Amino acid sequence: MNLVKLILILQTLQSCQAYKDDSSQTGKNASQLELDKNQTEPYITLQSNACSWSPRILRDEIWTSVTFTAESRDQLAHQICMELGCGGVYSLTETNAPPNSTCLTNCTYHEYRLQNCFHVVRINCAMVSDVICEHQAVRLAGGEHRCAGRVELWREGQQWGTVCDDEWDVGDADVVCAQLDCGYALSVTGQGGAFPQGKDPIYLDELKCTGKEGNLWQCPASGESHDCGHKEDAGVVCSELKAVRLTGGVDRCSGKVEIHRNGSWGTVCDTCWGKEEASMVCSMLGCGEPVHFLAFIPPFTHNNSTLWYYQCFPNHTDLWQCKEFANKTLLCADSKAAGLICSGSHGRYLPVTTETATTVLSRTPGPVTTASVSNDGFPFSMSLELLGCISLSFLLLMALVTNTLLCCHYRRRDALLVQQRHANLQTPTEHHDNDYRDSVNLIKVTTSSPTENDVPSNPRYQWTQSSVDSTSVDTDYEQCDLSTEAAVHMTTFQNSIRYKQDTRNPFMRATALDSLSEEAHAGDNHNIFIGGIVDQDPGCNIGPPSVDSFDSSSTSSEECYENTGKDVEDLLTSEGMDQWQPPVTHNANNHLTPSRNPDQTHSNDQGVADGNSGDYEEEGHLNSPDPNQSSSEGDYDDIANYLDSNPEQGY
Amino acid sequence: MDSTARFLLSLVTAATFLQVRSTVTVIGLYGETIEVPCNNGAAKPKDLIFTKWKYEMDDGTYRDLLVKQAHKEEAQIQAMDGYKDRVSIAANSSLMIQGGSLVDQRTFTCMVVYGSNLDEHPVDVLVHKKPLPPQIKDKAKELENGKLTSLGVCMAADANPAAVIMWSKNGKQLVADGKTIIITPSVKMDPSTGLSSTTSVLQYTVVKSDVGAKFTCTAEHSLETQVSSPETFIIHCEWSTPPPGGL
Repeated sequence: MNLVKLILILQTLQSCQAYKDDSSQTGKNASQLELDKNQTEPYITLQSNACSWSPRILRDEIWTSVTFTAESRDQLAHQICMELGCGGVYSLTETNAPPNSTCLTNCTYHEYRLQNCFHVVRINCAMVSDVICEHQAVRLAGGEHRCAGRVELWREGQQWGTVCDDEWDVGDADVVCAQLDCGYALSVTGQGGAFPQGKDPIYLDELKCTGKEGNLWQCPASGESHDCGHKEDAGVVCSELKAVRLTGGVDRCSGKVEIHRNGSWGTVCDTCWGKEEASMVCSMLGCGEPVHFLAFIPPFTHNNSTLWYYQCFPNHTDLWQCKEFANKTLLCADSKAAGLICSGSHGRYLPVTTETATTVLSRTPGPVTTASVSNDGFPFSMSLELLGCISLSFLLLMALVTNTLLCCHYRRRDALLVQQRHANLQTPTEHHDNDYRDSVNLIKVTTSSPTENDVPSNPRYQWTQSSVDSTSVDTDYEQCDLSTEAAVHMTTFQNSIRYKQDTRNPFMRATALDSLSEEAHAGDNHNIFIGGIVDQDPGCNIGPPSVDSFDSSSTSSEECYENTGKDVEDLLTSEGMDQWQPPVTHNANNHLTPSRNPDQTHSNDQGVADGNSGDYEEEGHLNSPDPNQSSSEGDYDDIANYLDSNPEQGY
Repeated sequence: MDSTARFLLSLVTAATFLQVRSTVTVIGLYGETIEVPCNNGAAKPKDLIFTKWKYEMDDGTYRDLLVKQAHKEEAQIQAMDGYKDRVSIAANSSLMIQGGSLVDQRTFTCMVVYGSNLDEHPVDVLVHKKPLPPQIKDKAKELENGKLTSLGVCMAADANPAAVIMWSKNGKQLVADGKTIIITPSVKMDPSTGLSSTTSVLQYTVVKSDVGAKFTCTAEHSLETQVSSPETFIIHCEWSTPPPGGL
């Protein structure tokens, strides 16, 4: 009896168990069950964004990559990308399977599943891990780091194209940043932005993303029917932009090392700061080699921001390859902020006042540097040496200028004689010795014309000087070597006026000059045109004589041109790099040159303050101590005119 | 039970704390390289990130000397003062200070950053120097029997800490009694080097039996005790017979 009971109970238990198994199996997805059984049917798993995916297969209860034949792989990848609405295949990551391994072929894709696959043994089996479809392909070009730049998309296996900035906003840019694993968008750029223009097609326009899309192609947009040019290329600065800069120094190649992330600039703990790291930063900034990277007195203080610690190994070539630690208090315990002076810095011994640093840096264009207003003085302890240096160079310059002046004096005397002989100029020259006064009057009479007075002083043209230069080189050459007797006196006088203008304020010269050369392009006045250009032209050794009377030059002018040219060239190539230069030489000239009209000088100064670039300061003082530069008379007498007759103009 | 455990725990904690915080003293030799061990020369932690040596200024602030990254070959010298060219780090993380001098008598701290920890091991450094061999100077030309006379001055120069000078007659130490033997010691420190020179003036009243006695002075110092060369003095005896010719 007991035995029967026991059997019964056991049976019930068994049936229960069986029922339980049944119920659990029916609860499962049918396909899953099938897969579990034969483990051959692969799935397509989409990655977080909709346009990249991986084929996966469950093998021994582990999801692994799937092995395909080469033909099958290409066909499937393309088909799946297309069916996902993601364009073609952009990239495919795979590893070669060992020869003669079993792989799948002839699969049909349906709703994230690969069905009816055949197993074959091939020598060219490949294990596909990741497929990125075209719509997922995006890059940020023209920036210093992959997380900032001009947005570029890839399409139809052809080329990278750009996105138009119409309606381009942070929401749209967020999509790109997220796609690139660059965080979120800090700022967007468009026309006139910091990144260079792209070329080739413009793919999208008037994007209206929410920011949550997987890629830009998923956002409502107008595609082919855009009305954009490449100057409107959209760009973005993402929060994960890795950027480094030096602040608080005399220029961009010296100062406290700051690291960008999430829109703020953190500092580097000097506990990790060595020769290697310093070298990396100098070369990343294009500033040469580190000159000084430790032991700054007083030490740099940390910003109230992220503290960065880098662990760089010998195989690392830039800071971003190094292991990066953010805000690890242990690593930064009682550390200072790392500082750096690279060999590319011009002011390695310059103690810089906060004022100077601020003005310099705020002028610097670009998204990164604009914010770089120094908040602490540069801790250099060499101010005395520097002062010595400055005063020495000052003295040298003064000696040079004095010499040139003397030389000029004698020349002028000669020229005056010539001029009187020709008697073209009716202005009475009461005092031959007073060259400045005479020359000014002279020019006023001879070359003043009403049109020139209308030329606006437009500082904006300063930035276009190089283009002016390039367009008019030939003209320069023409005038340079022509030496006629008649021209000499003109030269001399006009130089003197020019000299005076220059020395009083070199900024003014540049401004007016630019205006004039701009006018010259309009074809108003040939003299002006030529004069305006000469300044910028590197050389004038050859060329046929010009008809223009102003254009003749004394032979001595050549050397000046060479100087000017070289300097200008330097200036043009180094661009913003030169802006640090304090205009020391200008003062020197001011001392040496009698100021004829203080009021005018003053107004000039104002004009300059409106917006001259450092380059022009540089050029100004380089040219100014050189009174023999004869062939630039055209512009200079015009300037003189312009200034004399219109001292209030433009201010 | 519980309280006992807690007590033990606190004891252990305190011990650990003390171990980390307790200051070790190291005595280095003047003019030579001073080795300042980090954590008593214990092995470096496996997950060491960097070791930093710094020292305490007189005002209590710290100055960095050098940082040695675990993954780099060379240490980065961060000192900007006189230590710049004098410090280096040994393979066992010891700080090596070349040309030890008295300015090195301060607390150096080894900061070890590893894993998720930071240990600091302060080490007090003392710099010792034995004096130059003691010499007896300003010797009395002759001594008059029974009269308290300045016998000479013994000097043990340039020591740290200052040497202690003792006088002996025929190898037996002279003890000042304030009447017949007066010993006046003095210590002068050279402000530039910080080294001390000890001088000792011996005023002594000779007696007949002191004829031919050898006087020496001894400079006692932790590093070495040195004895001057012996001096004998002519003793003028007014009432006594001349000393035996064959002395």
